Formats: sequence, structure tokens, C-alpha cells
Amino acid sequence: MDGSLTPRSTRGRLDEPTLTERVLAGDAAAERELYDAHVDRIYRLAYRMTGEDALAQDCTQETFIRAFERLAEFRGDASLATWLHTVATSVVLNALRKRKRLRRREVGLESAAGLGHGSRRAEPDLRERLHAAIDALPDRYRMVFVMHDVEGYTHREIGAALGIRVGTSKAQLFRAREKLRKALHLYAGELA
Amino acid sequence: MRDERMDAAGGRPSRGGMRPDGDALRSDDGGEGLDERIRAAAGDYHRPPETPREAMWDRIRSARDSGELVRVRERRARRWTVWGAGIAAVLALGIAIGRLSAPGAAGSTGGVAAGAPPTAVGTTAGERPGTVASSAADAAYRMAAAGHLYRVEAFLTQFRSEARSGRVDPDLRAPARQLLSNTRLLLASPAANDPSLRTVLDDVELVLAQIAGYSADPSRENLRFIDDGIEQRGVLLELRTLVSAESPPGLAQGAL
Repeated sequence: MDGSLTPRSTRGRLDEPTLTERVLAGDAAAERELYDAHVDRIYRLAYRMTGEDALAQDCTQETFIRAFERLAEFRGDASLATWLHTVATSVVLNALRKRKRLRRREVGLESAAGLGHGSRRAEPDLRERLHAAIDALPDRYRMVFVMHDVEGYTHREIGAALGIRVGTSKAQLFRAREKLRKALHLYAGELA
Repeated sequence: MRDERMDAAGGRPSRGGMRPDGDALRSDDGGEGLDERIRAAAGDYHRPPETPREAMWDRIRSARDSGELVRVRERRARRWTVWGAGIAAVLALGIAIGRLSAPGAAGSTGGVAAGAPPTAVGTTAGERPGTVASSAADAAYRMAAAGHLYRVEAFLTQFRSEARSGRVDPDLRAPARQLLSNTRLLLASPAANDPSLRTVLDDVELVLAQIAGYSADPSRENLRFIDDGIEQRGVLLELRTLVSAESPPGLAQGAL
């Protein structure tokens, strides 16, 4: 697991305020350093949430472009990683909303065209059921579940990134797990 | 708000251990065992590939320099849309010419019995006796079929290459649908009276329908199933044989 907001490696690198100052001054090497320190976690989170390489790349790119454009607004109240994740989660949730709208239209087209090969197998296996159940979670719950249970972020980190209280993050994780348990209760034994 | 954990370089929460905020795997309804098993199984959920950091960095730099961000998803969609539009244009033109010049059509000189089989994709207009009109109709269908099969061959080649690397562009559903629709159009046209062409179109229809529905079951197993189907039916070999026999230079280069 490669989660948490901790930068990949900061040893021998510029400290955060200096790095931020240099980026703001237009130092290209500093921009690259900031990008290198955080891109893995942003891309991983975007990929976990979207399940699509192309969309995850778009979200990651947009996160960094926005971050570079708005870095002057970063006041250092939170860490740079937290601030970047605030931008990233917003970009990802917006992308998911947009994709949902597009897919609703596509489903309509597919129904009309009578396409799709149907279910070739009688029953998907348990792993697929679990993944389908995670997919079916509301995006906010899914974000908390993915960040905490899949990528290993703490509730403090999640709360800071999503702009919610730690208690709210815990409550959303509880509800997400509850929904998953309900969706999978018939197969609990098989998960062992 | 300053989160001390985020400043600790290299620190990373370990899966399954107590977290600093004390949540760990506790479940208030006694379902901690199931929660833990769900967490373990969820590790595979949308497992990310290696970060394409250089490709993304290049686009970010370019966007910062030019002020225009190239989106991977939209770029792929545009590529497919242009491709699909080209196919549709070829078929529409080919079939329209065929209808206009078919026996009995207004302005047609007639001369060939209705239902006469069209020229196969692999033959030339000169090999078949008939009137100027029927030759034009045959040529039109042949042109449409050849252009279509050329694109199907290119599409399936790309699909197989991506399928074998395990990374298939989810946006390929749109061109698969477009190609499937055009295949069905050709199957319903006089072009399908040619038995060899019909066989290929039937195989192509089946494979494209599977790819068009691929996103409903985006598993590696399904990818392998589709890939095996292409292999076992020899679809690409059939396509390449027909396409190379016809080799329409204009169409092959995407004239439309």
C-alpha cells in the first residue's frame, strides 16, 4: 500500500516553504520537485476512484495545473500535501460527476441499440461482487473508504483533504462499510 | 491546521495496524472480522499501474506554456470520433451511390436482374459482365466494404495489442459500436450476398459486439475471451486477405 499524504521522499530536498517560494518565483526545477514528491499518491488516488488510466491522468494533470496556478493562495495552515489533496479530491469528484452524466446518456443509447453481450457467466465471483459493491457506494463514501481502507490515509488526513471533520470521516467510513457488509453478507464465509 | 504525520518523510501507515487516530479496524456492530476481510479483498479494487509521471509532466508543462491542457480521455475520444465519422461517410457514400445506380433506380440504365449478386470484395469490376449501372453499384458496395474492413482490421489489431498488454482503452466502446453498426448495415446490403464476404462480416459482427459490451465486464478474463475468439476464428487473417486483395489506395489512406 502506498497511501497517506506523506511525500515520497523529502530527504535532501528543499523544505516546503522554500520549495513553495521557488515555485511561486517561476523556478521550473522546483515545480518538478514538487510534482515528483506528490504525483504518485495523487495518481494512485485518482486511479482508485476512477478505475480508468486516462481519466486518472487527466485528474492528476488538472490537480497540478490548478495547484501551480493557485499556489499563491496556499498559506501554509495545512501541509502542502494536504492542500494538494484538497485540490485533487475536488477534481476527482467533479470528474466522476461528469462521467456519471455521460454514462447515463450512453446507457440510453446502448439500450436502444440492443448491444451488449449480456452475462456470459452465471455468477461473478466474490471479488467482482465486492468491487461492484464499492462502485455502487455514493462517491463521498467511496472516497473515504478508498482513502482509508484501501490507500491507508488517516481520518485526520481524509478530513483535511475533503474539508470535513474527523468524526464525519469516521461516520462516512462506518456507513460505507455497513453498505458493503449488507451487499456481501451472503458471501461472508467466502471472504475468509 | 497542521497535521504532524504529513511532515514525517517516509512515514506510511501500515495496513491492518492501528492508525494514529485510533480507528483501526474497529466495527461498532461486531463485524470487525468481515470488515477486515473486506479490506483485504478491497486491495485489488482499481489497482493502479505504475504512475506515468513523465507523460503527465510533459502535458502539464505544455499546458502551462501554451495555456491549453491536452486531456488524455478527450484526445482518445476525439480520435475515435473522427475515425467513426470517416467510416460512416464511406459507407453512406458507397451505399448511396449503390442505390442510385442500382437497377430500377431513377436515372439508372438498368440491365441486371434484381437480386443479382454483387462483386466480391476481392474481385474487380471488370471481371463481371453487366451494365455500366451494375458495375457502378458493385464498385460502390465494394468500395464501402473494403474501406470498412480496412478499418475493422486496424481497429482489431490495435485492440489485440492493448488486450495482450492488459491495458485496453475504455473509450474503444464508441468506435466498436460505430463499426458494429456499419457491419450490420453491410450485412443487410447486397454486399452480403457474396458468401465469402458474408462469412467475414458475420465473424466481425460477433467480435465487435463483444468489444462493444466489454466495458460491462472489464475483466482480464473477458479480454482473453474476446482475444481468443479473434484468434480462433482467424478474423484478422480473413480481413487481411480480403483487404490486401482489394487494396483501395484512397480508402486505405482514409481518403474520406
